Amino acid sequence: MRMTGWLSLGLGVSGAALFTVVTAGATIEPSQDPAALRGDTDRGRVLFETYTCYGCHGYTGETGFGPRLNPPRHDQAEFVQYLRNPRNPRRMPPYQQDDASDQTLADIFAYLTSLPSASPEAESIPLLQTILTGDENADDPPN
Amino acid sequence: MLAAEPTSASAPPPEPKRPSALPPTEAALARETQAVQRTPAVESYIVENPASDQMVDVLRALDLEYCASNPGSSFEGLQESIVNYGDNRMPEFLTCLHEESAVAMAHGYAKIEGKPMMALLHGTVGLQHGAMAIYNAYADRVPVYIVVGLDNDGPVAAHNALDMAAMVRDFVKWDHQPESLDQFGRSAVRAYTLATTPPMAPVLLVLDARLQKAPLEGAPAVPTLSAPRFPAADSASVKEIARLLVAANSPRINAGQVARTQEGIDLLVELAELLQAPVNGVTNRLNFPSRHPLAGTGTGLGDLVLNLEPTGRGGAPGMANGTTITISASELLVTSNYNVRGGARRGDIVVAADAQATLPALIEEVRRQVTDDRKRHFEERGQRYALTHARRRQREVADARHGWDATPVSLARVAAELWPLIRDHEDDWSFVSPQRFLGSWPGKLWNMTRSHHFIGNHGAGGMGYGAPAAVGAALANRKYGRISINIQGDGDLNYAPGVLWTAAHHQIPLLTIVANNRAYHQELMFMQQQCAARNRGVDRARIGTTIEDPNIDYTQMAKAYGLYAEGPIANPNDLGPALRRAVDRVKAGEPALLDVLTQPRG
Repeated sequence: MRMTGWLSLGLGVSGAALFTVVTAGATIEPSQDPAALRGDTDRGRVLFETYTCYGCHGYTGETGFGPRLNPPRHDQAEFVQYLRNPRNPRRMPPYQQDDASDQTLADIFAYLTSLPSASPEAESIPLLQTILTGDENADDPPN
Repeated sequence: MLAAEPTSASAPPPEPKRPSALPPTEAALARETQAVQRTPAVESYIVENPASDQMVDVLRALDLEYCASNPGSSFEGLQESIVNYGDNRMPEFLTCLHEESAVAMAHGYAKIEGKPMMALLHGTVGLQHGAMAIYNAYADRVPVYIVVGLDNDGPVAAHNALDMAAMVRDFVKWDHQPESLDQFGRSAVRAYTLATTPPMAPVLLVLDARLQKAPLEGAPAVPTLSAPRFPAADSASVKEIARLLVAANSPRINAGQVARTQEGIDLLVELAELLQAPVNGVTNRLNFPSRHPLAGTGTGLGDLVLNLEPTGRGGAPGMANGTTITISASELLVTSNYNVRGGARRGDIVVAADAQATLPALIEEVRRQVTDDRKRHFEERGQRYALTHARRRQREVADARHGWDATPVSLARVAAELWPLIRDHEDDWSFVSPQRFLGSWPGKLWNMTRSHHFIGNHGAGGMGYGAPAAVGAALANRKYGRISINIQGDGDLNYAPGVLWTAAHHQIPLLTIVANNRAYHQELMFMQQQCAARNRGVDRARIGTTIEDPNIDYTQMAKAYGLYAEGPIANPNDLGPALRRAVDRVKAGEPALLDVLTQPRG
């Protein structure tokens, strides 16, 4: 289980300032092969919040409207490619080089690959099994 | 300030003492021989039989249980009659800390009780405060009985108005300002009848303070209320719709707000089972049991969709180029300014009638037209749909595992942990908040069968609805012993949190779980979209959309209003025990609140 910066760091609007500091040290070389860049997990964790990825994917990449990101379903090259040209840009915003460098995306990818799963199998969750079998409500309650 | 002189400058000087044998002066004679008179000022102030007493009798005849209100001088006459003459019963005065809460409480109450609550608002400013909540109820087609005071002789000129109702006329069904007590009685009944006749909506009466405070002259009869008749579809339309339904190979039923009551759910079940047609029915209130084998959108492409009181323009998932039929009362209540129902109803057949009121005739006609051959076909497709439903349900429940152990807590886990605590409550349970921002997890995980199991959304999407509507619904549930659950967005709660005090003061049992994502999260996502679309700084999407720095302590807020409260809860393993403690409090009859830090969306 992991407590993200939203809780542990108390990030608010100050996230913008923090982002500036973080990216200042990053290598931004658009000509490099995005898949070859090594991401920084700690930077990626902050960027995951700063770029509000959690908004649609949850703080552990496992909840929300958007696709599950934990564990990643793509390699780094595919991940970067998708963020540059998402299939449905009205749902998934496209992130261009000026706004999110290859290094930034590499950092976020590194963070996603580092995340432990907070999603046990449904069969191991008794509450869900009870709900699924419907055994809990043999009779309808009274009106 | 100096004490007043015993004799004012204008009073006559005292007469000099005279020997008793002397004849009295004319003034002394007059004093002793004329009748003693009270001073006119005192005599004119006492009104022993005010007209507002009669108004209370009328309100009682309308069976108005409660009057939700924030006090205002323009209705002090009626308020005094309610609490003294009426002994604060039928209606009982509910103290609200904001007019928006008063109206939204009435909105939530009506969704459970199926009849209006009265909201009593101060002239002009109180009505302006309540306007947003009136708009929500209007868009939600829910009756609210609004009475507004008017005191053009009052101390604050800014509270006066020549046409008080003008500011909300676009979103009330009817308004009137009675000129006499007799007219009040007739208008009161007409307002009630209009409010409760589909399409239901708020109504508004403006009560002049002079009329409230005047002495009652004569005894106007208290009018009687006749149960309103609902507009159902004509028999020719019913026959045609039944013919198309019976002939269709894969019909869909798209239920928006068809079931106002349990009878509506039962009728829809009857129609669906007769046709073995799938029903999209847990949308903007519970129209269809969530675990019924026909719940859902079926499989494959449909060739006919029957829209029953759709909240959008109609249509249903999985539709091919087939026939569309719409039965909706919306077109019977259209105002030109606000397009709350998304434009004209669409379909090959559009019937302007109340869908629930039409269902009995439609069921009878389908039953008459269906042949044994069609019945066999229906049974075959029903088995397919049941299988589809079972698979979908299995998938949805399994999806609840995602982020099950995550911090902050997943919304699926909140719903799942709650379910075993409420499902066996002997007097049943009631989910009294919207679920759209909760990933609809209650609808996916809970067995919703009764109309009070889910009362739907805001209406117009106006924030500030959640908490007060939940308190109003919980008030209606109280007499039935049901446990009421409100899973409450943090942004919404901050519009009028004072309603928590109203719940404590009036001992309204309600469990409020703050789904606290510390943001106006929908707006945060919209901002993220805009920033990305313009390629100039997604990192600033949080500015103006988050509720952080400082974080709001909802536990302390609730305690300040007199509630039992715990939180913030971030660890999912702490959630179950905290929920049990809070549910125990609610079962004992008091409101309780848990602040739960949650994932932003389900």
